[in-house]
Amino acid sequence: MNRMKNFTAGFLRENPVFGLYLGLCSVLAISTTLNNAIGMGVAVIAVLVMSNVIISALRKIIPDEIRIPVYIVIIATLVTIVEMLIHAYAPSLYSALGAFINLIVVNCIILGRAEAFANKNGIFDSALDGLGMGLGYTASLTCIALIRQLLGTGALSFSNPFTNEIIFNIQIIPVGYEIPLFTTATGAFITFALLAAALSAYNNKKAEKAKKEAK
Amino acid sequence: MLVALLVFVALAAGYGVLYYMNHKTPVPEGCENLKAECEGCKVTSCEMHPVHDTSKGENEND
Amino acid sequence: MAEMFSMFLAAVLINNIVLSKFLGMCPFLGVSKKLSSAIGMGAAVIFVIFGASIFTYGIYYLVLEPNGLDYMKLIVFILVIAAFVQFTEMVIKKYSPSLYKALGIYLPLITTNCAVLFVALDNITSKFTFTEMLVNSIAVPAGFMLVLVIFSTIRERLDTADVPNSFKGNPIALIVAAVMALAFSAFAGLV
Repeated sequence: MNRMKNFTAGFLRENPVFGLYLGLCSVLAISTTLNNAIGMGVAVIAVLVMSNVIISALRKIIPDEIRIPVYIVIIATLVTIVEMLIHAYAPSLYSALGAFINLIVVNCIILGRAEAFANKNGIFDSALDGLGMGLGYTASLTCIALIRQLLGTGALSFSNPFTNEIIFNIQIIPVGYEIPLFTTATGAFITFALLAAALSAYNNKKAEKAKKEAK
Repeated sequence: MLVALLVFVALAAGYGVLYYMNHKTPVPEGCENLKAECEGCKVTSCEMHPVHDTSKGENEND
Repeated sequence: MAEMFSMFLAAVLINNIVLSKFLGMCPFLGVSKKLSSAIGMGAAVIFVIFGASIFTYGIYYLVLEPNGLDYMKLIVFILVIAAFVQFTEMVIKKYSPSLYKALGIYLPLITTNCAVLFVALDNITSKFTFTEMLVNSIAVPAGFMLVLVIFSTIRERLDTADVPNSFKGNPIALIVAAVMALAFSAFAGLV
């Protein structure tokens, strides 16, 4: 039960993107299309789960004094591996994501989870935590990408990143009625701000309700 | 392969030494309680978060 | 010379690191409540990016490339940046307490600032010459500081505004950033 709670925390209660404002750089930059969002999400999940597992396995060996440098080296190694895999097997995704794969190293979510969870908990719990947080990140990223792609280009499309074969491509908003602003930086900021405000409104309402019940 | 290891060990050792020396260097006078008060994210375990600011009274944290 | 100047302008205004590349969002939102802290953070970022870029550029072309160690650049760069930040902090702690008072608290925040790593990698992937690298490593953080200072003055005023409850804090700051991004997009045809 407790494990389940830890796992689901990443989705709403402690959502790393909208709740804690972690990893904003990549979220805003990558959320232009569904393809990029899901590709980036999977890369982050892979790095996060592996780094959580390794750090939790080594947590008794790493001296407390120099733990941050050790974490940075472990994470940088994992990111290099993931980057090479993407470069080899999904070259179109690699060129679309550009420098942002490398920048997973400095994504606060990874170091933050290592610091806050993995160095205090067992291997299995840490892996679960990484998976939950990573899925929370991917879900938020996909959500923003969905809105931006739909409003900005009027169509939703997704293609297989390995073969570039188009899986679906649906024109929802008729051509000529789309809002290209949403594909630009301004659109990214606005979409993110509105979604964050919506989550904060939901949390405020919940807090108010709890207050009333307490009275 | 050997060069790679050598480069890595040299850099890691350099970083370790600098990290240690930096920790040993005392903070200058009058700078003990400096806080960046960064509120970029809501991770309260980060020591930059204003939650950790002990110089203010405890009632002021609204 | 003119080429360098237009490169500088492009990096500061057109391809602004915060408003068009979305890097350094954490300090952009976090340390922009007051003008004074924005200036301190901006100055620290300029110093660290400039210094770290020179080191990473040198190590890449003197050590990594001749030995075919291209694949190690991420690990090497992040170590160099982290070491450089530690070194800078130590030196100003020892020799300049007043500088430490102004910038010191922002230095630890910078190691995980993605802008630093991005500039270091960008200098390599864009195949800049040494002079181009120097211009780029000054221009990019200068753009960061410009936007951070403008943003902090807007936020100081925003403090007295009546903002809807759910927009308080980061959401309204992001709306302001959106408007700024729109304004900066007008620079697109400049160079």
